[in-house]
Amino acid sequence: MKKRIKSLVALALISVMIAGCGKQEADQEVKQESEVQSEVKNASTQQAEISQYPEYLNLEGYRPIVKEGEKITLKVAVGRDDCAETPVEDTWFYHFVEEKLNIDLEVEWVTDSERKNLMLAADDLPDIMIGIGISTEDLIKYGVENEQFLALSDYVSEELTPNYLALCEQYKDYMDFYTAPDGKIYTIPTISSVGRIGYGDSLSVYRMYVDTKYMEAAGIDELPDTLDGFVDMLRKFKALDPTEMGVDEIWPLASCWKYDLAYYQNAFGWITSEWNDLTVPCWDMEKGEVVVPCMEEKYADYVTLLNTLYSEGLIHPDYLTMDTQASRALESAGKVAVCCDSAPYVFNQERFAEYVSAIPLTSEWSKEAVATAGSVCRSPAFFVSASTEYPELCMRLVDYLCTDEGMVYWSTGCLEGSEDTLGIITGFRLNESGTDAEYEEIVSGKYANLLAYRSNVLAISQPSYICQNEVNLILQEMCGVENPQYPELDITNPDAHYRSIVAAAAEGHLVQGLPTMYIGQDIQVEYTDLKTVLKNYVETETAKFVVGQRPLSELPDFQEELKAMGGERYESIVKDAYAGYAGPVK
Amino acid sequence: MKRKKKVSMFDVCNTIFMLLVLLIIVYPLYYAVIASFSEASAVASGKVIWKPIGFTLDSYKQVFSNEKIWIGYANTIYYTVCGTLFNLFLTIPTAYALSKKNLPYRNFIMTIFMITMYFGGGMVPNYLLVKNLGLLNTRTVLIILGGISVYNLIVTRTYFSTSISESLYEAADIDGAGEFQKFLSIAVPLAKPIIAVMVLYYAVGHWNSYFNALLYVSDKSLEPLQSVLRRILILNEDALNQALLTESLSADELLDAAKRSQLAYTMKYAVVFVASAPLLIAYPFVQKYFVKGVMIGAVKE
Repeated sequence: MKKRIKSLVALALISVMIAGCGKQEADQEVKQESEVQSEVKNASTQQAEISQYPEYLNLEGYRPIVKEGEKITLKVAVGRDDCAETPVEDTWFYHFVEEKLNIDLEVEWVTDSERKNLMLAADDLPDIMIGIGISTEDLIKYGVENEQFLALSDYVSEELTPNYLALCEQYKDYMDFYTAPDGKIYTIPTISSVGRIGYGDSLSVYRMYVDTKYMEAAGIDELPDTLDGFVDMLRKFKALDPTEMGVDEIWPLASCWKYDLAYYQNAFGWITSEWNDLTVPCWDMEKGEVVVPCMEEKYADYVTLLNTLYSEGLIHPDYLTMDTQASRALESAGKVAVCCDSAPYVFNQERFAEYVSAIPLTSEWSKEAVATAGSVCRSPAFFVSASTEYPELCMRLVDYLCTDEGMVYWSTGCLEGSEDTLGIITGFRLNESGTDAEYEEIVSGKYANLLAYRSNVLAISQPSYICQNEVNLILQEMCGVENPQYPELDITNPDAHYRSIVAAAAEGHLVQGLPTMYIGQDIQVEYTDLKTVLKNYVETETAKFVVGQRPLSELPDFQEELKAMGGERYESIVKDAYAGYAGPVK
Repeated sequence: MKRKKKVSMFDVCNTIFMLLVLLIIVYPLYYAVIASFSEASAVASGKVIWKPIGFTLDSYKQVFSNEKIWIGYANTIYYTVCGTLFNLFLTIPTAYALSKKNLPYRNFIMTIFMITMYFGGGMVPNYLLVKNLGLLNTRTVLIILGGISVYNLIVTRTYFSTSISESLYEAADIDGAGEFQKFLSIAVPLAKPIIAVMVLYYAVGHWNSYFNALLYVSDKSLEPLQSVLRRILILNEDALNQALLTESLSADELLDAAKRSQLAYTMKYAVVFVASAPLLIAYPFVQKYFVKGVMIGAVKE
């Protein structure tokens, strides 16, 4: 037995020694490799600085990007819309890039976040990643800390990327969103819509629709513009006779995505973007500074309001736990007077036009009626690997996508009759109104809708736009329209209807939410620890106050408890993170 | 005269308790079936409890309207059959060899196997291995990965060492049989019950497997059924969100997206049924072997 133990110990020691030697060697290798990499990086940066780009690159134009006679293959990982079924290699844009830009593509379709995580963790990245779900956290961890992503801003120049530069300049007000804590930009901005009625920043974050049938029955002519008035309206709805309304029960308010919380929070003067988590900082309109709502004195009033709604039966008893489908089922059955959902047609396909959008409220805590504006900036979606052999080529491709043609081709395809159709698609033409694209493939019924057509035939990835609102105008220009205009909202279309009523209700009240918060690496762990503890505690205790499990008289004690748990320290960390923030654009 | 057995209080309580346990086990399965045949709104509002409300086949129609499901079925059957054969090819001979007391370094080899039960290489090294072997995006990877389950190996080894008498091998030795002959002519024919159990264990594993496909296969034509079903479900659940993000959809398209999104609520139950039905049907046919195989070797005399 002793002999066996000795042998085992000896074996273990030998293993440790071998592993130790291996590690040392590996460390040396890694060190050498990183030195080489950093030299290569320096060299390429210098190269960029003195405008010595690779010979194969055509800097005179984009047709082709890689000069004829050269053959370069880029590996690309793409995420696609869920309705995509055809191989990426069958899409028009894939062929266009290969034939017209002379770049061979080797594409992998990433369908799951596990695959993406594996790519990042194993540092097995393709040259380009588009729409595969890389989050801000991924960007910080893998892009900034591990230097796995190429900082596009290191490669920009008038010669190589004039259009990318122009785009960043055009949207400079929004570039903070895309700038990493190290001051570099790792992605192409993907801007939804700026200044287009019914889209992007013309919509409020909250979506609250009041059924006019209930308003008429309750004798309400105008929508309330104060918080007290809103609660009174819910009480009137509650008092209605269900049988007269043709239902067996009435719920004054049901909420699918808890949009109503965003609505109340706005009424308290908080411009929240994460309305389900009030440990997330927001801008306070009254104070004119960044605050953590749960640490504010008026948080007690906010909780009291929720308790009132709950105790008076103005919201469903399962409000806190009810899932989207259950809430929507109540809304669809016509039992709900104020429906908090994406759009009326989602829950009532027949009567969608009979809903109106609730308007922003004032209250004793906020003299100004405000609403958080919809986000203009979509999550970063386009990344280049730092280990790519062809950084300049990737950047040139990026630049092409930022041209007018690139933007339209990437999302909408090419013009009907153009030789760029490659015989794969018929191309787009203007519709009857002359303001939007239409496709023969959809008109003829070959594809059910634009999404299916775009995902299966046109685009290689999602999102298939860089500046969504611009594409519409550019394609009109390409069709010869002199003064391109956005299509007017046709309110007989259910989607346009909701956009129209939400935009109208929010007009003049919209305030942009806070930009992305970056926490310094040195206090990241402390921040996460505090955040985790506080978030869980705030969630559970707030729920207890709302349903009456804990008396409201204990609210001051609750806020003291938060302080004792490190709330003040947490507050100072997030305020420091926004120290340079001057306030929202209204 | 046969004396009537007295029913004790314990029997009554025990029966009630066991019925409750049965209910807890069976009801979720029953609920999945009735929910899959009900209206989505009735399920969402909690009206469906004992029987389908608003009987409809819409969920199944929606699931089977996607042609990919048949490709998924074919792939899964292929992976299950080939994978199980491969597993048996590795497990049965290995277990037989390890059941032999005269196998050199038997305990050492077994220890090496046991270590893999507690420590794994991890997802990233596995991925790099598969990638370097050039197995990404191939059918092979879904067949050969995890070739041996050590738990199954131990069960099979125990069967060989306890259920087949050593004297049979000795008799074969006297008749001049070699190791291969003893394995093929004596051990395998006598190991039918344990082989049936292993077929069941491995086949169920392959049938339900989807994670390896997520990691190693991005070619949609190679997707197993579980991945296809998962995608069909997500496609419908997400139909509305996609529609909300897409400009220029017509009213009909939007309303269709809204309806499909609602339908996804019952589709998930239909998907559960579609995915489980073939195995539920096959199970009774191997059950007799299963019970026999598990019991043999359980008691050592």
